Amino acid sequence: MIVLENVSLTYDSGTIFQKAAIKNVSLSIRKGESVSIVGKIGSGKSTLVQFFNGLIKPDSGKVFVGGEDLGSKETNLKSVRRKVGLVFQYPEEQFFAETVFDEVAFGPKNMGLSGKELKDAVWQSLSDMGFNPSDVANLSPFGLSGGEKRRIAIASIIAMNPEVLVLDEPTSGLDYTGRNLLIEYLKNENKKGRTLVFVTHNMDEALEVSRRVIAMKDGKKVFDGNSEDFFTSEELVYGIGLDVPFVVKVWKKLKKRFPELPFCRSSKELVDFLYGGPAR
Amino acid sequence: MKARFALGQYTYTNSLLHKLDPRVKILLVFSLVVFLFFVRTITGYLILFVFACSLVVLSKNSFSSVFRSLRPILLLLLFTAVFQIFFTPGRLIFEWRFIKITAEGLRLAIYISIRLILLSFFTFILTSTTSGIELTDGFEALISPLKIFRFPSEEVSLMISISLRFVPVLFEEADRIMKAQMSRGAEFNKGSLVNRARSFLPLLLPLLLNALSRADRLAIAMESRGFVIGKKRTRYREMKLSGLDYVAIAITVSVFVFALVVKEIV
Ligand SMILES: Nc1ncnc2c1ncn2[C@@H]1O[C@H](COP(=O)(O)OP(=O)(O)OP(=O)(O)O)[C@@H](O)[C@H]1O
Ligand SMILES: [Mg+2]
Repeated sequence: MIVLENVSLTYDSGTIFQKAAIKNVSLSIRKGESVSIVGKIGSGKSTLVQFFNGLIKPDSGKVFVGGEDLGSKETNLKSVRRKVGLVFQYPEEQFFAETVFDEVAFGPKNMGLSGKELKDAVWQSLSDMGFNPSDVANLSPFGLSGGEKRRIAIASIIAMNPEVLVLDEPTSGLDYTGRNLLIEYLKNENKKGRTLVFVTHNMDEALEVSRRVIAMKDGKKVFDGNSEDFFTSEELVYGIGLDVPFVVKVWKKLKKRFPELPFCRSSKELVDFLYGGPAR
Repeated sequence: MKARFALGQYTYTNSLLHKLDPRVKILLVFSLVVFLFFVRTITGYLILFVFACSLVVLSKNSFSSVFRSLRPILLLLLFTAVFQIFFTPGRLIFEWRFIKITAEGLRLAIYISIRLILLSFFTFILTSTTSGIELTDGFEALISPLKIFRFPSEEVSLMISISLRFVPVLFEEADRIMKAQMSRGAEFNKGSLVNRARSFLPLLLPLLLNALSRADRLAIAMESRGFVIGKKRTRYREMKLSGLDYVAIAITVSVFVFALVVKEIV
């Protein structure tokens, strides 16, 4: 679905601010996959995902989406952006509409939806994000709480019904329940077949959401593979300057006492197993 | 869109010019720029040009960066030069159909070009060796005599320094918002003029709102750290004239006087 071949990018090259943000990265994301992208601050995560819908073009290397070369003149970037929905970091800072409805409708409208189709898309995405659509549609998006704003912003991308959903740190700044709601939604969407790319600082979330993890360090891809392998290897995780998920720390301790304990991706799985599981 | 741009291309190299007092630098460059227009001979300009070039070397800047800084005024330069060449009345030296070039026009065009180039050379040297903070501190000190006319010099220079500080931030933010709206299918350069203007709303509105809320946060942060308008503040860097500054003043003034009085030799 998304393929990057030897992609590199330097920001502001030729000035004193020159910064090599992405260094020779190749990767391939298949349809229906769920991939988490982790890495320290400034490691190039946000830059990387902006290749996925053609917002930035690499200095060298190629980007393909659904087989189309994004560097080619014939490629319609708008249809690429419909296919790959990208939720920016702090997306609520881009609000401009008078009502929640208009805000969420902005994307699908640009994609050519109108009338009932448009309304259905907006209604569906609002309820996907846990709202009662008729309650919020006519409110001002600026008057909502931080968590609600975030969900509205995500709804505005979902409303375009993209095949691939890319979210750049969607959980940062959310409260506990807002975060859980979102994580559950993402896992569920992926189960239903939507391709998911999830950028996060929170290692527990990465482990819970995706079986595959891509780790970035200083613009280079330093790991790409099974998230269980990654997070159970302290050497790998600490080497990149990240932390082992809390669940994995607990799981490792428990595993010593209960050798039959299977790998757990979330605290909920762990608790379920300990209290409801077959062996104790 | 360029996300960042270098205001004045300030680069820290530890050159003699970096060590000069900003007040001296500002004052010298300002007077150079003003008196530039009183020089009447090509020889005088040549002397100033050599002076400017030696300053560039002294400031440890590369000439390529100086020429890069000329790029924005190139069009202005070309336009005024062409205008002067063709529309100054005087002794004809070339005529072809409606195109008439006069000796006076050619002379004026050359003068104006040299002046503009020198002007940007000198300002480049100032801004590349003086940081934003030094510039505003220097500026504040220079306009502080206006206080006797109740001119709010401290506030004005604070405003300038805050604005300078946030210009690049604004550019970065505009870039980010534009990309985010493009992710939602927005297009900023399609359609009729009216449509195009309307398509900028999703960019301008968030930009404005975020700037306002940032200003709000900044004000609160400043107040909570004890800032009161009009109250006397001390500074971290005290500006003091050193021997180097007097040397710089002496050299500049003598080069300049020389350029003013020199007889034409070419
Ligand atoms: N528009 C830009 N112009 C110039 N440099 C940039 C720009 N965007 C990012 N950078 C630089 O590129 C590097 C990678 O940034 P990026 O935003 O991709 O990192 P990140 O992993 O998303 O970080 P974070 O965890 O803070 O979101 C950083 O050093 C950053 O300063
Ligand atoms: Mg980021």
